[in-house]
Amino acid sequence: MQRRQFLFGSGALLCAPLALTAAPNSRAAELQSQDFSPLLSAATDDSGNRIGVWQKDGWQYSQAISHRGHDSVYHRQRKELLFFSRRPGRELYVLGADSGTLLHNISSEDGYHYYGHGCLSYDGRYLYTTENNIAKDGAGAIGIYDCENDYRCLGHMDCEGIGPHDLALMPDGNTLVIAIGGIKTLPSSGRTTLNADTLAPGLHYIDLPTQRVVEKVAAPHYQLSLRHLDVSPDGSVLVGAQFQGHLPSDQALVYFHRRGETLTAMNTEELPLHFKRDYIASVCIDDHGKWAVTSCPRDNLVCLWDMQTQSLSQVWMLRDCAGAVYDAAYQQFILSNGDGQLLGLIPGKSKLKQLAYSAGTHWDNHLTLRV
Amino acid sequence: MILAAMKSLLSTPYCRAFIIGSGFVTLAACSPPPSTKVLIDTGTHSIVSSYLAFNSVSQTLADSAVSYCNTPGDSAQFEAIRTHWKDAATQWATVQNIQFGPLMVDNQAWKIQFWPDKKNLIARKVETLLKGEDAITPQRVDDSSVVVQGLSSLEYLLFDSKAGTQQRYSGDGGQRRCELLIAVSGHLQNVANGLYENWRADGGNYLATFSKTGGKNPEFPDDNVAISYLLDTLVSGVELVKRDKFERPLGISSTNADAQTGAPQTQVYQLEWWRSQYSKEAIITNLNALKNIFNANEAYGIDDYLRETKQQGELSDNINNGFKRSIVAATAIDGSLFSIANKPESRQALLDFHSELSKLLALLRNDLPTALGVSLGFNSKDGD
Repeated sequence: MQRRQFLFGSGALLCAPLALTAAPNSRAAELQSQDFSPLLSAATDDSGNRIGVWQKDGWQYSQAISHRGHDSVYHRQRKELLFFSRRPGRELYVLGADSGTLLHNISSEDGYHYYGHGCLSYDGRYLYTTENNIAKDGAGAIGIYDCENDYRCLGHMDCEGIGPHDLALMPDGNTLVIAIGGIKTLPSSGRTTLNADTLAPGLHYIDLPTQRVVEKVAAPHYQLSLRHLDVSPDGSVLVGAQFQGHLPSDQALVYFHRRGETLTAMNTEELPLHFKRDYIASVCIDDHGKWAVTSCPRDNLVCLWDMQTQSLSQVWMLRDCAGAVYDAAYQQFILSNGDGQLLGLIPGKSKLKQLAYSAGTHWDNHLTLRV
Repeated sequence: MILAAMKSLLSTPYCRAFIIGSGFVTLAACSPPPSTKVLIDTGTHSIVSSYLAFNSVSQTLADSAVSYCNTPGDSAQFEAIRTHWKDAATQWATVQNIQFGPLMVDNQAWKIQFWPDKKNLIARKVETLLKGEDAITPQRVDDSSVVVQGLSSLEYLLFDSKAGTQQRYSGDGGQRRCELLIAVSGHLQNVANGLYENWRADGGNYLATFSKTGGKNPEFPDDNVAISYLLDTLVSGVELVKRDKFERPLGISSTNADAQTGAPQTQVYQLEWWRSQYSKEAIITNLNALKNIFNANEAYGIDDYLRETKQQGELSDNINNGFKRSIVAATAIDGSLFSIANKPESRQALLDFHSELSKLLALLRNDLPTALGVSLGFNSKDGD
């Protein structure tokens, strides 16, 4: 029996406060299988840290790495997998998508390190990565790499903000949107925040042809570090925050943005979210721009948002959940967590479904599809 | 039902191994592995029983609202409903910290308690609802904001120094206030009943979801994952008591309580249950309930599992002593937290309790995960 239905069925007076407005997709509802598309992820297990592709119940291939990974990108045209080091790592691994062979082990330029995220240009020629310009006292930079020339670094763009983290290409193919975390760290002091009182987080847009920042939207609060984002096919941006001050903050943590407009908080009614630690990990929008998922590992919550109404639809409890990606082939979001679980989330369904479980595998922050 | 239970036990690999190994079958000898025993016993004795009790006192509270409103001038009835509210608040404190299951679905906890209420929303929204003209029913309450639902709203209606007096139930507006009292307590009863129904074996049987782990169980793929939710319950429960129920409202520094100088910056209106001055009692109940979850009451709990399976008898004893010492220290605080928050002569008792809580939390957060072989959270501990 489905819990939610039972719960609200058991008391005639009870009804869901956040009832879904849309009927479950019928085709998705028919898909009961535990199938899912192959996934790129970093993970940590008894043997250490690794990166690779997970298919069904196991690694199709994987590589040991010396530190924790973070996000990844699948380069479809080149059939290559790109894995970024977590800050303050300097490594970028390029694996062949068919065999998992390590093709390149790129290092950030001298004086730079990665923040763990990257994205490709529309034509797949260039890779853009968020980086720390250590030599320039922790200024944020966007690295440009030539994918067709062994990922040679062509230079850096100024993103006009400290601590750029996640980034994405806008549907126009000409603009990057970058979540500016605002947190200054330098390798000499590890991951310690050096500018706790003067954070300036925000959402910045860079015009690629001119390599200039063309729009900057400040976060509503200086401690609201904007960290992860996703872009809808219609150009709407959803960005998740991690609060850097006294917890809980009572600040909204998920914001909606369209170019030229102000940043607006997604509607959660009045505090239906039991946030205690104010930390959003992954942000993921489906292929139609209809639904979005955010993971909150410190509060053990997964939130489903309706992008049309810009409001919260449903909340699930999932311990230490971090990774989230939309798997269009199976019309589901895939979630990963630190307990080794991979779960399917289908909007409109009350329960998450188990896709795979690997005891002892701690899935790291983000998931990417190899499709 | 017993047969069904036996059948399901027989299907577990642990039992199969035992049967094959021993050559003949004695049902009584076939017991689940220790980790599963922890889940079954904790679920049965420390969780389902608490939801049952919460359901039952919520029913009593709803009934007493109806009785009182038949004779709103009867002060004995008014005292009775106040007592029943306290019973319900006490039973809520036994389940408040459980970090999994039906309580987490669609934020049921918010329907039961809206706290902390930093903007005094409860008073504002309840009074707005009272000023309206449409009929007040449990359905109307359910359609309204969580702020006017549950124990918090009832506390305002029963204990607020202005709005929660017996006089307010007579004269103009008294009847409407009664309608709201009946509707909110009836709605609370529905929520409490829904939670219990979802847990109990003959209902939604979340007990089985929690204790029958395995590959087909999307929430709990193995016993270790389920045990880690119990660990979360213990850690976050003590954290909630320490940080939200104690340090913040009473202006106690989380790290260096003794070294604090000057008058503390208290925020007494952030105390849980400040209107009824029932904060300390709720804290003591929280700690007793968490201790029961650690011990599965008298049955096979994490305490036994630590001692017998993990060879961690000393840690098990230390944690139990930590709970006991914390409960003793909380009980030793004289007066309600609301009334003594700013009294210098009471400060030492508060700091003594805080010190015990800190030691207990350190054991649960630092030592228990390693001893159990589960993680408090990979991404949550160190993300980016």
